[in-house]
Amino acid sequence: MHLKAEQLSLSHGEWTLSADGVFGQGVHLVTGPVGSGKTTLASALAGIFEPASGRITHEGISRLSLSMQFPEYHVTGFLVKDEIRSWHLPVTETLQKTGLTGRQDRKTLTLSRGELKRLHLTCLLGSPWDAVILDEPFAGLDCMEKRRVCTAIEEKTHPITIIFTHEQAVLPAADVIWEIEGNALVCRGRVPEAIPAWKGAPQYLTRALEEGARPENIRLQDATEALCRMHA
Amino acid sequence: MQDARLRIGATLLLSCAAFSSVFGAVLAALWWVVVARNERNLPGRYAAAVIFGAIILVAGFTEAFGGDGISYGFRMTVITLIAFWAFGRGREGDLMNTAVWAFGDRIGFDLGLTAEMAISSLRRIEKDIRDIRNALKLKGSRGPVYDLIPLGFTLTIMQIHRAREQGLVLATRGYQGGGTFSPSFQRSKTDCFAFFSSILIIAAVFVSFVGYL
Repeated sequence: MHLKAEQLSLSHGEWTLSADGVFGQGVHLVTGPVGSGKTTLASALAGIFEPASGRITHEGISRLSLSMQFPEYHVTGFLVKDEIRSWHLPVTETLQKTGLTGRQDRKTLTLSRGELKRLHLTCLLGSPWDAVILDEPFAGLDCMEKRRVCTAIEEKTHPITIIFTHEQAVLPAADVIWEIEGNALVCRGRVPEAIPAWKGAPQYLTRALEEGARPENIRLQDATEALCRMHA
Repeated sequence: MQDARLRIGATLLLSCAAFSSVFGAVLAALWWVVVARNERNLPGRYAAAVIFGAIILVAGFTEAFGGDGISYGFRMTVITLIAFWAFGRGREGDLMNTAVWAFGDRIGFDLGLTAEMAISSLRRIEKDIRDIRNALKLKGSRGPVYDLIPLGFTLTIMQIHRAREQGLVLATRGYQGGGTFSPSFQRSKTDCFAFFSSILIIAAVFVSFVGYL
């Protein structure tokens, strides 16, 4: 099972982005500065943005979903309970997971951006997809919610998870790191070998590397544990 | 046409000419064929089917119930084509430049700001519709008719939220009415020709009316 980008070229006017690589099973983290083309690439991989050239193949993937930056776009249920049902999920359990217990009769689009994002991500990650593509899943969430989303991702209920983010504080454990650099998608490799080559790594990782620690993954706790091991 | 004043002026004149008579609509259509040939900015198939379908529907009903539906349909089609050209050719700041140039820093500034905010909302709606339709497709769309309800509802709520946010930003920055703005315009070689030909068209329509009377 994999998602493959073959000599892909994406363009918006004069701007172009090239991508070539295979997203196999596991958690993939794609990072890059704002405006580097993360959303465009995520849309192309999901099949909703037409590439200028090259092709994308979905091998063994029959159910794929994309979480867009703005959760409003995904809303089809007038009330919160209708929205949860539209994802074919149990209302009470999902409300509990989202922290919205008792708000099933609230109008979905009157929830705050953070609440709506929580509801959307809980529903999306609670559904049985072969591959999920998450575009800036941590935007608009507080640290606690970011950690909750990371835990859900780390449970690996979906064979392939691709996360597009510029988040620098709270990240989930990842298997492969990709970076958008100079208008091209670059694979830094598998974690942990890829960590020293990761140019856009969060500060806590670069500091740990500078100290001589070798974190096993990319989370803050991995950097802390590596430093503790070193000084033990 | 690069000069926003001439483009808005031409759009108004051609729309009046096309609406007033079939003769005016034919002349406006000819103008559209010649002047707007490289920048017609026609909508996609789906949007075109909805917009022109609505015109044809109204024209059909009018014709069926004794009105001049064919004439109406033709005139409205020409007006719509000119509107697509004018909207697509427009650049950010055009309406602000024109309104301040025409009405000054007080009323002109307010009118220009309102118009710019409306146009930027329209452009965002284009993207919103595309994104919402894609999201619904990924979620398992039940078809375009079922999608219309969540699409319309989401768009409306998002626009209300954005309008509130824009209002707050303006209030925070101390906006009460009017402002300082120096309008600037660029003009291409063909701008004057295109504008004066639209004056000739409205004049020809006026003369044909006088002759008719």
